[in-house]
Formats: sequence, structure tokens, C-alpha cells
Amino acid sequence: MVLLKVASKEKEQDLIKYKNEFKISSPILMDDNSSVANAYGIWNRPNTFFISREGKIVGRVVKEMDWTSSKMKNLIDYLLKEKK
Amino acid sequence: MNRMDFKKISYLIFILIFGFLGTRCATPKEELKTFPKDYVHPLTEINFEKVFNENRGLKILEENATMIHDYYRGGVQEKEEGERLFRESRWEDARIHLEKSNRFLRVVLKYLPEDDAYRNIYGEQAVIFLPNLLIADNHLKLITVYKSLKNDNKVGEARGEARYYLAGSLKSVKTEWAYQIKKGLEDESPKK
Repeated sequence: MVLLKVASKEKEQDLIKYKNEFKISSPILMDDNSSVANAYGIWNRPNTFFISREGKIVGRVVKEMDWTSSKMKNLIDYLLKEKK
Repeated sequence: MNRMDFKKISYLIFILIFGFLGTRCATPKEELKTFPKDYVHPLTEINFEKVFNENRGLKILEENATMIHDYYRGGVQEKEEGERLFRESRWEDARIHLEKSNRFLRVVLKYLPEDDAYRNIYGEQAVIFLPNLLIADNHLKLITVYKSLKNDNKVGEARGEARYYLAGSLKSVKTEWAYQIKKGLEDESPKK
């Protein structure tokens, strides 16, 4: 599983500060001109996409969520178990 | 790493998160510009291309649309495709997309009935928000489409719908684009 965070129109120094402060280990990608956000149709944040190994979007969450909840764990387990 | 872990990693998924708690506060809601009541937005400021550009990207399918901005985006995307087919005189295909665009946009109007030159739809990014105008414009194109398909009953209906939605748009925001549609409707209407 690969977790990527995308920050649109954010200052690099703010992102570094955030990454250090919250001990974030996953990569944060900078989307300076919001071209990635626009391609995904992002008009509000946070917005999370689940993308299968075939490159298909298999899920989307358009609000904040508790990543440690059992609901989230079940969803990720289910997606990881999906075969080709 | 044991065998089980390896098996899990072989079934790859990506989780892509746009925006997150730590930096969200640093991203202020985009300030909306204000305009005098009778200001007419020129075509250089509000036009097809700008609206299309703001709504390109992942294609919205009817069965996947859940939020207002999904429906708006879907409506614009279908319109763009319909317009392309219209220019190629592929009338039946153009009809399907323009009518689909109207279906998407009518859902938007159920919840947000007024046009706005710029609006934050459920988020911090302001976009040109003209569902009434887009429907009116679709109907103007549909008049030509129905005429070409010899579907006379639908021509009158499309004419009425175009006028209705155009009036709805002009009530909230004045654009050069709307006046262009108005002229298009006048030119197209049968002369007495």
C-alpha cells in the first residue's frame, strides 16, 4: 500500500514544518499550480482517493476521517485482499 | 518480512490524500470578488473555455455523482463533449450529451438555484458558477439539433426552456455570454 499526500498551493517551508511537527513519514507531493487537484476534481479538502493497482479509482472520501477507526481498517484490508 | 506481508504488498493500492489537517489552516478560503449589481461580466472574463478548464479532469459518471460539485462538473463536461459533437454536425450524439448535461445541471439547481459569477462550492476554490446559463445555452444548441433531426415538437419546447433558464441567469448575474444567447434566441425565433 502506498500513501501519498498532495499539498496544493502550499509553501515548502510550511510543509516541512508540518511534516516534522507531526512526524509524518509518508511523502508529501507539492502541487504548486493545483494541476493535479484540478485533474482529480478537488474543490474541497481534505479529499482522499483509493486507487487500485490497475489505476482505477475504487473509493473516495470527501471529508476528514479517522484513519485508526475499525471502519477504515476494514476498508483498507478489503482493498488489499482484492485480487487482480 | 514474513510470507503474509509479502502477499499483501503484492496487491498494491494507492491512497492519495489532497490537503490535510496541518496545512489546512494555512489555506484561507478564496476571497470572492464583489461586483456592482448591474455589472456585465465581459466574455474575456467569463466564457466557455474558462468554465471548461475549471471542470476538466476525471470524468464524472452519472452513477458516481454524489455531491453538488460532482453534478456541476459532470454537467460542464457533458456540455463540452456535446459542443464538440455539435460543431461536427453529429446531431444525435450531440443531443445525447447536451441533454445529459442538462440533467446534471438541473440537479445542481435543486440545491443552488441561483447563478453566481464566482462561487465557492463546498470548498475553498471559487469557480464560475452559471448552471442556469449553461442550461439555456444547451437548449439554444438543442434547437438546432432538434431542427436537424426533424423533431419539430422538441424545437418549441427547447426554445421555451432556453428563455426560462436565461431569465433565471440574468436575474442573478449579468454576463455578455447571456446577452449573446439572448441574441441567438432572437435570431433563431420565427419572425412574425
